[in-house]
Amino acid sequence: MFLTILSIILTLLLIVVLVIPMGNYMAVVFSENSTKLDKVFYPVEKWIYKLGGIKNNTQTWKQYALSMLTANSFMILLVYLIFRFQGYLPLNPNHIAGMSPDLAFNTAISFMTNTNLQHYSGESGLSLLSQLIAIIYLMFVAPASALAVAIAFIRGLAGKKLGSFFIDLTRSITRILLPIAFVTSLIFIALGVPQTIGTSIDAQTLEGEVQTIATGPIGSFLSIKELGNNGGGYVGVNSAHPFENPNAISNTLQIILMFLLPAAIPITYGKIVGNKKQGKVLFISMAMIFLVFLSTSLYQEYQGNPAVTDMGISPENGSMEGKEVRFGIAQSVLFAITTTATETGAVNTMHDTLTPISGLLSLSNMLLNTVYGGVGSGFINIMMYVLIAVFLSGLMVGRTPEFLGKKIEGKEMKLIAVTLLISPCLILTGSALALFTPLGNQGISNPGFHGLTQVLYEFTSSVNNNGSGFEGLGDATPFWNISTGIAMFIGRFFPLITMLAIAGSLASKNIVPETAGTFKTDTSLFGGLFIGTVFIVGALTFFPVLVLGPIAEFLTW
Amino acid sequence: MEDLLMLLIIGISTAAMFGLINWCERKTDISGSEEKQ
Repeated sequence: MFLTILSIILTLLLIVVLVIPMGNYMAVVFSENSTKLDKVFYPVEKWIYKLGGIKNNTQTWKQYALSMLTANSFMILLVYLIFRFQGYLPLNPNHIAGMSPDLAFNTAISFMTNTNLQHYSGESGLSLLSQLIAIIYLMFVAPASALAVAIAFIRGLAGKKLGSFFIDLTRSITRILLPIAFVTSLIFIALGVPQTIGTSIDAQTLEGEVQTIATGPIGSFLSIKELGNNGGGYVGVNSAHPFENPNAISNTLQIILMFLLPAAIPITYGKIVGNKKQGKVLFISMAMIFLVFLSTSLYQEYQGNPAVTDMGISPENGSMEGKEVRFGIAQSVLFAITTTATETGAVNTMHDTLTPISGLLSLSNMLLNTVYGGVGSGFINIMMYVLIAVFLSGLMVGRTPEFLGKKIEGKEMKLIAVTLLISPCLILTGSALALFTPLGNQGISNPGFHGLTQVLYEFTSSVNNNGSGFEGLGDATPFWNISTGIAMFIGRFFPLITMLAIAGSLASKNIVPETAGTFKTDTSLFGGLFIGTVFIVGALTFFPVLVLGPIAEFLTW
Repeated sequence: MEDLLMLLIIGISTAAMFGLINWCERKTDISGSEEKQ
């Protein structure tokens, strides 16, 4: 037990040590001025700019949003066609047929929105070409798109020009994602993860049967899967498969990669706006929520499952149902809380078998989308809650709310209000539709409170671009493919667009000089206010449905 | 036919987001030139 806790503490300390230089590095990457990095990366980037006709012109928020939306929608169309026609395209050694239209629709949107919700099994549903050209390509472009928007938002807050979407997108890939993914791919391969473009292997089992073992370029897939908070598995069972997570070191490395970029962005933010303390306050506030969720979840899992205890089995080993014996409870719970907090969606344990309170906390991580969140999109959501906290504190002290010297007025708050409402609207309406129609509720495998959680989890995971499945839900049907596809699309682009508009609005405002009466937003008091706002505004929105799902399940356990 | 339906949904969703961009522009009263200044 002591060693288990120590391993978790050491992993988290290692993450803290790594995210600080990472945050500072990203601030340099997205600097407006020339840096030493240009000498290394510009020779490659200039060819990309030349091929794409990209000019170094700063864009307005509208141009930035249009560029992001147009490029992303075009890629959805392109990848949709690849999935549909993969049966006729090369690099298909296992002769996998094209996806059905609704599944191709769901999968294309899923990977472009950084969700990676998978209603198919990777090893049997996708050709090598689809995995390499469509899936891995989007695994780089999707997080890079959201990271670019987050950086533009930070620049807007700092009163700077927003920059160019295409340049930020290119730099995100060439200077951050590709180099780190390349190095970590080599580490994963050294740890035993396969990297091949060969066909599947047919092996003879001890019973004399033939078993087909899927292989592929899993090493290169795995690094960007975690680094970009993508989470989609090369194989169906994701990081519970020994090829996709062979040992404790690969498990720890995956957890570190999931955290690396989302946890570094507050540091980048502090550096770009010239207030490092504010970045630290946000980082620590989110860390506190994370630690409370993690410790509660660990406690619950170590208590065991009463139903199993009633069968005369000792609860001393905790609840091991659905967990990999190789990782045990601690590494499984740390992975589950990390993957939902960072909106990655990779799994090394089946979340359907988590104890009700652990399931509730994983669900809450996704519903709040503020415990670091996914690359870029998480930070955008965090800043939405920060602006709400600033507005509420302004109302309490009777002053016009100010943030970084910019007045927060009605027009910004109107946009924040609609952004705040879009997530609950999509999640709750989608869940209600699924529960009240046979097309939706026939997929529920465990009727009752747990069944409601299965449906709620699926829509929460889709809207907030997590992509993990609670499993147990029969979701490979046209109803689920189309409904979650639409939810992923709107859940992704709506907040990115409205928050860019807010950035554009704030960028155009003059800075108000700080006075003795200005409410400081880089103090622990503000950190507390931020956490309070997240729980009062965010968590209470979903409290009724959580009572009907995991909380009712816990009370009747 | 099903392909057309899926492409139509993608098209409508994208068009809705374009509409959102225009709506946000009206709400914030920010034109491009103003922001550049």
